[in-house]
Amino acid sequence: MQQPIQSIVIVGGGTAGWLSAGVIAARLNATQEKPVKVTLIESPNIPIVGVGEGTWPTMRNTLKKMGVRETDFIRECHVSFKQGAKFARWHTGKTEDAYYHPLILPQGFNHINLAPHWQVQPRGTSFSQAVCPQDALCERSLAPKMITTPEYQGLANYAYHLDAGAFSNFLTRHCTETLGVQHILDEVVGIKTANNGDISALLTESGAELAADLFIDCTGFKSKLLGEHYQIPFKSCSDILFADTALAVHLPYQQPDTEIASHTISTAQSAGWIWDIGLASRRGVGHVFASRYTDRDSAYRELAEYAAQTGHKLDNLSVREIPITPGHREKFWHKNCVAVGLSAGFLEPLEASALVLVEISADFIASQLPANRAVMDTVARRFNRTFHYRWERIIDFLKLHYMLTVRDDNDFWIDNRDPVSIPDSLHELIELWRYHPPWDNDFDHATEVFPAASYQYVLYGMGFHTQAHPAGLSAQQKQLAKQAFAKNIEMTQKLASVLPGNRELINKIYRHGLATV
Amino acid sequence: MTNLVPLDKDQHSELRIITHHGKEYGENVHLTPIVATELQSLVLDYPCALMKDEQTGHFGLYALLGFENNENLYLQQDQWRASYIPLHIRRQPFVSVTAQNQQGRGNLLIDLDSARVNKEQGEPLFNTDGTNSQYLQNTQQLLGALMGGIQASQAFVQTLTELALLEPIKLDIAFASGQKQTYQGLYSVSAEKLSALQGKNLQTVHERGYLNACHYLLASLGHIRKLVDWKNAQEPSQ
Repeated sequence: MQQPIQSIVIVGGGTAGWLSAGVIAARLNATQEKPVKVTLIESPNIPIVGVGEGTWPTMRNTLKKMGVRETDFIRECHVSFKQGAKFARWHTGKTEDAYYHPLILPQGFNHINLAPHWQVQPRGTSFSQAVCPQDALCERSLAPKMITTPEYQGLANYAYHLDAGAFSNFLTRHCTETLGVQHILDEVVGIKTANNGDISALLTESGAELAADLFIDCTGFKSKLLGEHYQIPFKSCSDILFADTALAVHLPYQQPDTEIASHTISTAQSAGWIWDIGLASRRGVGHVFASRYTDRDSAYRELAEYAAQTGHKLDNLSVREIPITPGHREKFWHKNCVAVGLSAGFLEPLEASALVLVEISADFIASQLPANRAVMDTVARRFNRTFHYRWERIIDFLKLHYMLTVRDDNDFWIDNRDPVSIPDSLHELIELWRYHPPWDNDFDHATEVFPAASYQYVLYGMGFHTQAHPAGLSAQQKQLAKQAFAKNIEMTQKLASVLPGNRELINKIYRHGLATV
Repeated sequence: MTNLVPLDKDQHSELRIITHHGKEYGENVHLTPIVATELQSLVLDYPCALMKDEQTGHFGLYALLGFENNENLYLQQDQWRASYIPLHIRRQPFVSVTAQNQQGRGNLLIDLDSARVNKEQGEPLFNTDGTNSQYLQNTQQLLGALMGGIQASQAFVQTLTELALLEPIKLDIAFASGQKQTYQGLYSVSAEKLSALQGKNLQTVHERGYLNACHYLLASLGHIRKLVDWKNAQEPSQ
């Protein structure tokens, strides 16, 4: 039990597997004198799901810490810059109905809450427009940085849109060539267990026995170790989030110089929504829908109409159908096995939560890697507690997008407002926010996946109203707010005048690269 | 502003070039590109640093002559307060382009709109028999040195980039006038990273003469103090 943890085996070579391998190996190589040995085994026959194509800004730091050059990543993974998400037709369903969830915090967020000040302003400027420059930048398809801006730095906060397949290959090379991760192409056909129930080794098709102190299950929906082997139950949340199917397609650009959107576009449909992610090489578009409220043909038709807006004929393209079950395992770390990625759970990609969960899971494992088997159960309990909390908060946040709708063109939207479909934790927050605008201390944890600012953007984007406090706002507060609103206008104009187009910058990066300093 | 044409001994036989210094000849600039091969001379007079090209993001070498547009603190009427003047200043009004002509030599272009170009005063370009004047021969030599220097600089900067030796320098300057300014966008060699070089990398840098060049760059930054003093001294008259 006191034996130090010396080896980790990761099962599965999708983005979750390689991202975990990279994060863990880079961290341990840097901090340990005798780094833990990291091995990744992947089946040569299983295709990767590869629909996680939107990231959070956290990915910048994740890649930087792995020692990846941003220039290489951008060039090889067909990356474009993402500055937020635009939600169209979620509130009223009308053509002009749209709001942004940008990535920059509201102006002066660490010293003033602008929400109550914005609410008493004359109508006309949306919340995100009033407090953040990124609406304007996205509307103009501008990049978040310039060719002279060093790698991983930005003038505006940014994340990425990436090609998941290319990203896996890119990480494979980096992990094996630079970080010393051992790569085995073989099928796992059996599991050998120890007396205490731990996995002692994996048996492979070629007859090898792969022993390790810790196993990371990155086997996708299959959840081979945690689900199949340990039978940890899956906790569905389809009573909260109704979507159960996705139709995904790649749309080529009409012209090589077609502008690339600087944000994910999420357009609500009759019983679901369509994602639209612009990469450097193509767009990835997909319809996530609830088959309880619409049938596949209608969903296909809506996707075809969406594609037709840019002149694409869906019938000529290959459309992939992906069944999805929203929810997560009841535990993520059991014995000496921890699940990361789809094997831990899945939620519709409405707020790009898939990759960020992989990043923070791998970061937790790397930074709190049990010193020995004796302490592993303690670390596992802490991991499970933390990630339960994270999954619940993400589910709440996704539900928020649906529950505030006033659409009644389909029962999908009406049922989404039904109180029985809304988690108690979210009920409570909504009750609070009727009288108090969201603020950081409304949440239990110091580091939340979605900060209070994100809730503000969605709430006020969806037309939510927080009642003005009866005590009013002081003259000093009003003055501070006035300055912050003015500063936002100034910052918006300045950024819009210096930033290049998203496509223009990406082309320049292909040609010249970005400097590291 | 500029009207570059290939120099032609028939068309341009009567042209003369004024070789004096002064702001009327476009010398009132606060930055000038420099080449690595002249660092040894420049280090005695000028702060030298790297800056990024706005269009490509590539690093280039520059000497700092002042703190704002149209401010060359070295220039006093028709004199430079320096024993050496950068090649890019001295090449005016000529440009050499890398495209090769039939003779396999670089093309010499002249800026006909330059205030230096006239028919009355200065150095003739051609002798009466049509051959190149001594001045033109010297200029060709200077441009040759400049072209060679540009290539050497590119190789130097590329090595600095590859070895990740560069770091941004932030200048916070308080002038005697009370004006405070922060200058960003300047880069230099990181002394720390330079001294941490080992083995093959250190050998490469040493053999190519880059180690000296790096030390020149670092030492040259001391002249910024001098420029501040010069600016402070001239402030009241403005």
